[in-house]
Amino acid sequence: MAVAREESPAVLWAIQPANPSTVRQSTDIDPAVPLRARGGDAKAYAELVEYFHARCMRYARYMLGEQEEAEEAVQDTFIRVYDHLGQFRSDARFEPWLFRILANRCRTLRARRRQRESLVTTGELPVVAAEAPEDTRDLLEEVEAALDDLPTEQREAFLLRHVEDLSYEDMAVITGVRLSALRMRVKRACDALRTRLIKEQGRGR
Amino acid sequence: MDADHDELIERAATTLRRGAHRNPRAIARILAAVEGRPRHWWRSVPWPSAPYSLAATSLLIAASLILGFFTRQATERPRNERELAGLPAARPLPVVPAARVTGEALPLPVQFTLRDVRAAQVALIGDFNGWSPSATPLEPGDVAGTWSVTIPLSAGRHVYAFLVDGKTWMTDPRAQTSRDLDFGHANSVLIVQAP
Repeated sequence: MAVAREESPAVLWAIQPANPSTVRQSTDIDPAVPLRARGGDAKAYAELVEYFHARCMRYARYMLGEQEEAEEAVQDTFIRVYDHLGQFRSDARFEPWLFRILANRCRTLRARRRQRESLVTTGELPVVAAEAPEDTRDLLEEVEAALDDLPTEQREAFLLRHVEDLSYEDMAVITGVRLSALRMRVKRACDALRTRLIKEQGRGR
Repeated sequence: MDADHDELIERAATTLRRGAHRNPRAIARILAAVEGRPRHWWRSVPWPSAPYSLAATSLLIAASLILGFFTRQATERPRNERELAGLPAARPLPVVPAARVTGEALPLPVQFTLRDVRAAQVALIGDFNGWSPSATPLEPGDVAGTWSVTIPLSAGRHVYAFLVDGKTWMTDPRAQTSRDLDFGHANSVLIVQAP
């Protein structure tokens, strides 16, 4: 028998406990619920899923652009939560912990999809779906289309900040990216969205 | 950026926020999917109320871990003390022969050793015991501050850590560290290869 150590970078990172000064008007669940779920309370786990599912689906759908993949990402996320609740720290906040898992799942699925798409043979003609005329698109469609054009990092940052209403501190926990870089991503995303939406509105007039 | 443009972003965000809808069927599918899963985490780690400090943890460590493993073939040379001493930061410790393994499918004995003179109790926690703080306690050794346990492990990748005094999560300083992207804890990684 031989034993070998895996070659992997030794990067240390820990979920920080909540800092009262940086906690925004909370969208997080009552902290007692994840602790009860961690202690084996199945009803508490169901409460967690019920509480966060709609938001998780919203985030995943905007990140992935597909309902089916979004459902897969969200289901995987909640299963991972279930399997690893034992590692959830009692002094940590649940919402960023959950969104970190979800954001990772979304990134993985996007990467997998890109890989699949790159395997399409060059001789194959793409099937282009008929698009609705520009003037029939409502604002949601316009915004979704604009979101879709953003780089993944900017879309992620914009959604976490402006749609999920999370603090930059929580976003740093979720993405592992520094605050200054996150602010830049959000700014760039806003700039790109604004330019695109103004252009769309100009067309609509 | 002017006020109109800020309004535009806020309108876009408000529109996107409306995209959250309750889906009882999807929720039911998730609850059904977890129903039959093992519940190792019911025995959760009693986390301390103080923030987890990796720096403080590292100061507590004067540790080494030795993996003792033996083949079923008597002719195969086991690791000896010289080899162990040659490992970086390793403190040579006697390797206690473990049970001979017969049959390829059987788990293989692996010895974990930690040196921490301040520890009152040490547990091995990992994916192989459901991260249970009570399943695999280390026993104090003859040398002061040494702790060890030998457990059977199947071939493959294992993630583990030590839990010192029931509250300090400690990686193995000699092992490669693996950071789980989802959960943030630094853990140690061990790959057991079948003979």
